[in-house]
Amino acid sequence: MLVKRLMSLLLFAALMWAPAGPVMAGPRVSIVVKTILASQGSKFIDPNLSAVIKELQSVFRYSSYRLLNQNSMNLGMGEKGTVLLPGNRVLRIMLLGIAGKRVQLRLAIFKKKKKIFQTVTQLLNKNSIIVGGPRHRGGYLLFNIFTSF
Amino acid sequence: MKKTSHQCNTDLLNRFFDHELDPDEQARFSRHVKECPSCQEALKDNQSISDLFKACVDEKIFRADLDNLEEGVLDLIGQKKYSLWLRLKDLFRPRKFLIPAAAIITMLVLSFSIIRQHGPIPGPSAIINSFEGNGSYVMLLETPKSHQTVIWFNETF
Repeated sequence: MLVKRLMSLLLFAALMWAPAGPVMAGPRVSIVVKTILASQGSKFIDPNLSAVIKELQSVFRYSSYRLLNQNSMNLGMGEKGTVLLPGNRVLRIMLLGIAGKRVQLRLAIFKKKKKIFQTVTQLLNKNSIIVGGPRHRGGYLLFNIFTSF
Repeated sequence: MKKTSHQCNTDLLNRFFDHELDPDEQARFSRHVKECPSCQEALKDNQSISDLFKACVDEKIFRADLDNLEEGVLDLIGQKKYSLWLRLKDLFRPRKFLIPAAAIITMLVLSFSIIRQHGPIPGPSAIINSFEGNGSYVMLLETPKSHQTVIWFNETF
């Protein structure tokens, strides 16, 4: 009796801990956009960005990383989402499709209604892409775009 | 009486009796025995004991029912030849074995789940299919550890 109970408990634990497979993934994609200001000067890393910045510091040499804004959206196929960025800029994200473990997105940045940047990217599920370069208040803007589905 | 190096050595005497000495030693000790009454006496004792033992064994063998003995041995062997199923049943009979087995299976399932969840990222986090911009340059970078893709563009507008 005790053995049966223990085995049932272990089986239940295994089933609970096993991650859900891609079969359970829905057609909608959750997207989080973090707008970061990277600059030189006083050393500061936003506590909410520690995981992102730890990796970025291997390619960038900025001393300060501040989270300016964070936006979330949930897009279906062909849907568009918009994020207001500092300096009269707008980021528009369109979900083009899902292929395997990657989601295809069109990212476009507008400044004063003029498109200054556009890319089509295949982003790995539960991963992010960073778009950077626009100047802002003595530093540079970085946009960390994270997707999960 | 002539003294020899083999005088009344019990160990040598026993080995002589059992014909375990090498030929030269056997000959030398034989010469000693011919001249040594105590060794002769000891050899006689050994011989009598040996004869008695041999007689007992012969008598037992003579009286033994070998056919019956053979049947008994074959019966014992037959009892050991039980089926594979019974052997497996015997293997699983001590149920203490089941708990560690279940624990090992669970650990393996969890390990594969963790490996599947946190395994290495297959390639860069993002593949860039196309790019358009009005900047003077664009850089594509990849972080060394998690292979996060970075697009850096120069905004001129």
